[in-house]
Amino acid sequence: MSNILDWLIDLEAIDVSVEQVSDVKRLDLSSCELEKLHEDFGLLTQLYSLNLSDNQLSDLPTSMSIFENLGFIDLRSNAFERIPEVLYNINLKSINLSYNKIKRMENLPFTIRVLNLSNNEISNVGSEIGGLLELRTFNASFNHINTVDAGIMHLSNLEILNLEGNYLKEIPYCAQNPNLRQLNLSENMISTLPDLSDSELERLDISTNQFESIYLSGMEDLEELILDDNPLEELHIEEDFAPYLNLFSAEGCDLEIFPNLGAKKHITSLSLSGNKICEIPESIGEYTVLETFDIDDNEIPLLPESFEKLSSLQKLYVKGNPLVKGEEAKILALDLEYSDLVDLQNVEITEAEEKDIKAMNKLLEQLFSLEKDFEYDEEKQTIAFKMLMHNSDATIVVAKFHGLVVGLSTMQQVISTASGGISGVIEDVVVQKTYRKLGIGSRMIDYLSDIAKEKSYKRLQLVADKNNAKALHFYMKKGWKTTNLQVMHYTF
Amino acid sequence: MATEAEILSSEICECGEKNVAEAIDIFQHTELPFKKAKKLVTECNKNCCRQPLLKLFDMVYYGKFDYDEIHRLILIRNEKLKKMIQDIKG
Repeated sequence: MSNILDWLIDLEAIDVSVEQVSDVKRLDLSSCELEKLHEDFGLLTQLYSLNLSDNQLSDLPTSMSIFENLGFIDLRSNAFERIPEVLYNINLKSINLSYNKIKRMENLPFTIRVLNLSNNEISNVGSEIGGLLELRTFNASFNHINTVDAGIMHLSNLEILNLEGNYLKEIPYCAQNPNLRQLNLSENMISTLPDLSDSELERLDISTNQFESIYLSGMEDLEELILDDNPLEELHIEEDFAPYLNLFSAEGCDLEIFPNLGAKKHITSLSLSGNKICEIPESIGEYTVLETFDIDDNEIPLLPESFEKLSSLQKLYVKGNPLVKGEEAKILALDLEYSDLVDLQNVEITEAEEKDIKAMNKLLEQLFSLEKDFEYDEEKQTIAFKMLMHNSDATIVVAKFHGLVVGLSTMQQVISTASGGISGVIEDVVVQKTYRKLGIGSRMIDYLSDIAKEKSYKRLQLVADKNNAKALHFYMKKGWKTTNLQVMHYTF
Repeated sequence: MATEAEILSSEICECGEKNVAEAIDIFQHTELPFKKAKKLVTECNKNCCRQPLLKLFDMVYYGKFDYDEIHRLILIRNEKLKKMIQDIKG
């Protein structure tokens, strides 16, 4: 075998200029199809950080035990069935062993602060956990864990614990640990919540368990509580519960009564989708900073008068309720960023007519207000729209909701020397504010793409404002690729 | 190892009876956040197929797909459901 430096150069892990093993401080050997490491790997004694993820390693050489400086090792997505023994002798601070086939927690160094063992086959967090006194973050999600040893109570530095996707039937003993801030126990089989009133948790996720009844009190520091997907019929909330809560979610439970939360003036996100709630109380008006309210798929016929006081509300999900006629007006009066009242089935994508030009101008005005290069001029834009309408090589599509124009996009053909045929240039893609995030833009682009295919265009191209991150992401998600070209223009 | 075509046609959600290809299509055509986009696939409030769908949602967002990873997560989900059913039966 070649010497260790040549081996690393071959793997493109170090530069040819590196002459001594002691110069190698950080190594990224991820995705190198390694089944084992070089026989002289132990010579890299100055390593500080080592990434061996996405290989086929099943063990590590014992010579690594002299790696005194190694603090971070990434071993995710390998073929480890056991935690390598050598790790016990290294003063590691962070180990990532996720996506392996590890069955037992063993050989872990006492110095460890961040430990990721998610997506393995561990069935028991045994007493050895109690010795990891430096542990701050422990992720053992998506294993087969059904018991957690009481030793976890001694981890006074533990701040984040993720045991999502296991087979736990009880909340682990550490829920009241003094420094524990985040606890994720979703997707387990837990049915009883112990008294957590004195805990210092800031985030608790117990979604997708077996809770039928929950009693909540205290928890002064709690900011986020997620109870989704539990067969929850009863929710007893004391007045002193979580005074600074800002996110509460109990989706897909069996709640019949709107929960009475004490932190009304702090909650920004409230999700009660998919319950059996019949009434929103007048106290909803006290949620003065509420930004997202999800109450869809319930049994609510009427909205309270105080609904209009939700001045911070941006997103409202209310579909799937038997709202009586006229209630929708209370929602439309709120000028929301998004509401699901718009049924996409009532949105028609069609080619524009002259009578649509006035509404199209309004949309273009919105678009030009976002694009620094353009200034809106109704007269010029009207002339341009008419020219496009009378040009057989151009298409204007509009999205109409109950006849109202809420979206616009244009396409013109050009001859492309690069593609050796006709290309389409898409411009002026805009959707009215209230109707965004519904897929209308996507449907307009698909409509134009279909026309382009029919006309045997070789490709489509468009220009988007580089500062419009939402638009750039939208096109990327639809498979558009960015180019290295810079758009320039010259005005006569 | 399953082929890409086999993975695309495999069921990712029992409740909504959708395969991987259908879920991708739904995610590509919505701008809703994950929880709401998931509901378009599952047509229910359950979370049993959350993990593979969350991964797929992220893949759609970044435009890069790892079908083997999706396949692996579906298998894990199926295995877990089987174990839970066995557990309930005692």
